[in-house]
This record gives sequence, structure tokens and C-alpha cells, in this order.
Amino acid sequence: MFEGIVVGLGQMGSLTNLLFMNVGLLIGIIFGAIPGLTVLLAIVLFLPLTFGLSDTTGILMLIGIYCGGSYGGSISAILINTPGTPNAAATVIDGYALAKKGRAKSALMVALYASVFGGVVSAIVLLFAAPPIAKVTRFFGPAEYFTLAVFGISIIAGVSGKNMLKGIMAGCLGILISMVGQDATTGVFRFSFDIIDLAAGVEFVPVLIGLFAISELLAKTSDYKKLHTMSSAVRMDHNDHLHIKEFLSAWKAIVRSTFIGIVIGAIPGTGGGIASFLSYNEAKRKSKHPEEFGNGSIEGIAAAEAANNAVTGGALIPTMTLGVPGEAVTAVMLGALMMNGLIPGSRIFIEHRDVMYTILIGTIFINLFMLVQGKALIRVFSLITKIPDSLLMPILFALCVAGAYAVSNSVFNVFIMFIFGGLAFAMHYFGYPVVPLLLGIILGPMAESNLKRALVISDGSPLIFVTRPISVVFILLTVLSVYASIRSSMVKKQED
Amino acid sequence: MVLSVAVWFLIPSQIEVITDSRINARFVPKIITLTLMAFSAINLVRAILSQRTAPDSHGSTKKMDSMRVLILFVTFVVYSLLLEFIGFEIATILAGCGMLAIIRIKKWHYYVISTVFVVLVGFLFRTFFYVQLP
Repeated sequence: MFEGIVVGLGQMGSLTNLLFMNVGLLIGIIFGAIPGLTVLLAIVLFLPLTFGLSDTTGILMLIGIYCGGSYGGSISAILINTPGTPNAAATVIDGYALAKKGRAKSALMVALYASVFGGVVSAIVLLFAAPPIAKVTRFFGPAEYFTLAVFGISIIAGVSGKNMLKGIMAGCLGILISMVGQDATTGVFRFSFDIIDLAAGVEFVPVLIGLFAISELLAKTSDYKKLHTMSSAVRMDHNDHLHIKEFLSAWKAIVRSTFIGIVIGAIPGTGGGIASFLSYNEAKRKSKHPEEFGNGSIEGIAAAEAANNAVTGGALIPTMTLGVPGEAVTAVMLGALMMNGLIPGSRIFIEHRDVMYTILIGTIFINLFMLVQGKALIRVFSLITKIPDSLLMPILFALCVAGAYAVSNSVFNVFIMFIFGGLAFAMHYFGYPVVPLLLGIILGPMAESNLKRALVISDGSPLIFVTRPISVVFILLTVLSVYASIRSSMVKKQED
Repeated sequence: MVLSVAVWFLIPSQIEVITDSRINARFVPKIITLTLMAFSAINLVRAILSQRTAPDSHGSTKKMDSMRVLILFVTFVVYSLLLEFIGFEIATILAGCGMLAIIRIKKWHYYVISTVFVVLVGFLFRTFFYVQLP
């Protein structure tokens, strides 16, 4: 491991890597800061651009976007009372309250420092936890990989919102879509309708852009009157300074929230939103001044921000080692890893040692660069939040088309992007969640090929899945995950 | 439900079987389609039962907005058909301005900014990313 860290440090420091880590970070912060634009959208839009970069640089740029976006959401939460991302929802409570008192700059600085702390610590945990976890997967055969994929797909239950049934249906549709093209085991063409462009299957990037960006354009159009109204931003007083003592008074909340964030992030199907609210509540419960919460508490902002940024490193642990993404953003990251030949599993830290350690070390530095960018560009970020959604629409559209076309210089991909955009919009309209569809598309091939291999090995007997210990563990985890989701959905329904 | 039934009937024509084994190229698609069919049926029954107790939630207020979405979607499809013939810049400028018109934007400078941005994207992709946009 030590050797890998040294190599990673050396490679990470190349000018190209440093440049694109910072570019990614900047893009992430901008997308996170603008309400209506999401981190997911940023990753999806800029994924095609990473094809021209080396695998390491491309992934580092995407991680930059991911980490930057987690922090960026707090900017609009503090300045315009609108979280740029769902992860920053808890930051609004005290962030905007403090900003209204004329201390917007202090609120932004607290959010920045806490985000950097949470991000750096979670990246260090990722560096030391990922390689040993990946090693365990060396004992995996087709049965284990199939049950692991089923466990991954079971996250559908957690990300389906109120209607799990619709989530499962969307997941099935995703698996069926993943089957378009040539079957990996038999070589037979499936659902290609004699269309040459479908022979190799549906391209991942146009599908992603369609599902998340084009559907967003359609959704904004459906509610176009909202595009004509804009909330007013809080004025920033540049004489306002955050005192170090004020920030240090929240250190316990920051440390506690960081660990809550890492643990929550590593659990598939959760996310930054849950982590930040949980940490916020915990900080309030343990605080000496709980009465300040809701009225501009520094502890409140720090707890929420440390937690949602700590989620990034935690969420990358199962994604990079087991190939189980916990949510949409990490699902796209998993797709990006796979497209670059970095297949999660026991061999990833052996066959791609240098690349992986460079990425892990880079993740720590990305969070440190966030401190520099955040401090230097704080005035500019306050202007970003004022860009109207209506102006962003044609800009996004141009980027979507160019991105989808760039994947394989094909107009067919642009068409596919629109089809999936329409599909995602229709799904939203009828209450079907889109993330399960994405999980089905990503994990479907892994589940199918390993199911077939396992059944061939066992002569068609399904007992192979319950006679191997690791398989049994994954089956139990699947049952637990589904049970927990059903329970939480029932509690939510009762509360409603 | 309709989709799953359609897929079920499509399987024989769309997936060829070249081995005697039961675990062939149709094996998993059949399982998934049956699962989709089963859950669709359950969902349908639930929807019918809940409709008896609750009134229709899709009111006429959404109709106008849906029409706008439909126009935009048709614009997208026409755009993808024209893209190869009139080129990225012209097609995207037209679509971008059309989009602003659909959402009733009257500020002329939005149209200018959108046009300039399209030209900029075209230049960036061609010059720096070596993508030969149509």
C-alpha cells in the first residue's frame, strides 16, 4: 500500500492532473451553487469531455465535480435560501438565518471549512479502507457476484421514494434496456430490431444525459412560469469576518458529523441529504446552545456541511471496491470507472494500482484545493446564484447535444438521448423513479452474466446461491436492505 | 403492463436461440419480463382500488403545461432529424431560440447570449476536443 501511495502522490502531482482536478472542482461548485443544476447533471454533461483525457485525469476531474458540487450547494442555501443540491437542505436552516443577520460571508466560510474537513477525512478513510475491502472480493465467484449485483439492485427499494413497486418496475425496465445489443455469453443479438446502431447496445452517456439533463429541460418547461420569477439574494458584507474561536467552538460537531457522513455515505441507498439532517439533529441534541439552532447557529451550518461532504469519500468505498453504487451520482461514477477499464473487484488495486492510488490521493487533494478555490472565489460564487434558469436552458441544451454526439460521432446517439429524456419525463409525471432504471442499466449485465455462469456451474441448481457463505451474506444484506426500506417507507406514510 | 406484454411477444422474434440449454439468451429477458408483468398487474390492481376511494389527481390545470412539453419534445425530435443536414450551429441556435420562445422569454439579450454560447460550444468541441460536430 505504501508503495502505491508514493506512486500515487507522484502521478497526482502532474500539471494535467492538477489542472483538471481544479477545473472539475470549479464546475462542481458552479453547478452545485445554481439551484436547478445538480452535481449529477454536471458529471453527466462533462463525462464525454473526459474521453479525451487519460483515465486518471478524467476520473479525477469527475471526483472534483462530485466534491465541488457537495460544497457548492451550500452557497445558494446561504445566499438565496434555496439549496443548490438536496444535500444542502439542512444548511438552509442556519445558513440563511445567519446571512440575514448580515453575516453571509461568515456563514459561507463556516460551510467551506467544515466541507473541507469532512471531505479530507472521508478521502483519507477511502484511501485506507478501499484496498483491503477490494482484496476480499478475490474470493468471489459467479454466485457471489450475482448475489452482490442483486444486493446492488435491491438499493432500488431505498431510492424508490414512496412507491417501491414502481421502483422495481423501473429497475426491470433498466435491466431490459441493458440487454439491447449483443449478448456477452452467447453472441446473439437481442432487441436490436436490425438497427446497426443498436447492435453494440445503447450507449451509456446519451442515456444518462437524456435521463437527467433532457428530462430536466422538459420538467422546467412544464413549470415555465416559475422560470420568470427569481428569489433575491442576501447582500454580502465584506467587512464581516469569521473569528477562529467561533469556528473552533463547533469542532466537536464537525468531527461527529464527519464520521456520521462517512458511515451513511458507505451505506448504499442513503446519501448526503440524510447524513446532513442526521448530523444536524445530533449537533443540536449535543449542543450547549440548542436555542441558537434555526437562528443562525455556526454549529448547525458546520454539522450539516461536514456531513454532506464526508459522504463523498464514504460513498466511493462500495462503488470502487464492490461495484455497488449507493446513489445516482456514484452510479454514474461507476459507469465512468468501467468505461475506463477500471472494473471494481479484487484485481483493481493490483492491475491498476498506480491509477487507483493516484485517484485516491487525488481525492484528498481535491478537497484541499476546495479550500483555496472557495476562499478565492467567494465573491464570484455569490454572483453565480443570480443566473436565471431560463437562460441556462438553451445553454444546457447545446452542451447536451455536443456531449451525446461526441461519444461516437453519431446523430443516432442524440436521438437516443431525446428518447430517454422523454422517457424520464414521462416516468416523473406518472410517479416512477428514474434512479432504479439507471441501476438496472448498470448492474443488469453483471447480474445476468454471473447468474448464467453460476447456473451452468451448478447444472441449473439454484442451491449454489445458498451454499456459499459470501453469497448467503449478500442475500441476508439484500433482505435487510429491502426490509429497512419497507419499514422506513411505512413510517413515512404513517407520518403523512 | 402493455410494455411487458409487448416485450414478451417480441422475445421470440428478437432473440434467436442457438443452444439446447435452458440457460440461453432468452432466459434472463423472460424472467425480467415476467417480473415486470407481475408487478405491473399488482400496480394496476392497486391503482384501480385507490381510484375508487380517491378522485383523479391529474386535473386540467396541467394540460396547458403538458402541451408546452409536447411541443418542446417534438422540437427535439425534429432537431435530431435536421441536425445532419443543416449542421450543429444553425440547428442548435434555432432549437435554443425556439426553446426560449416556448417558455415565453421576451428578453432579447437571452436570445443573443444563447446564440453566442452555441457558436462557442461548436468552436470548443471542434478545436479543443477534436469532435467533428455535424
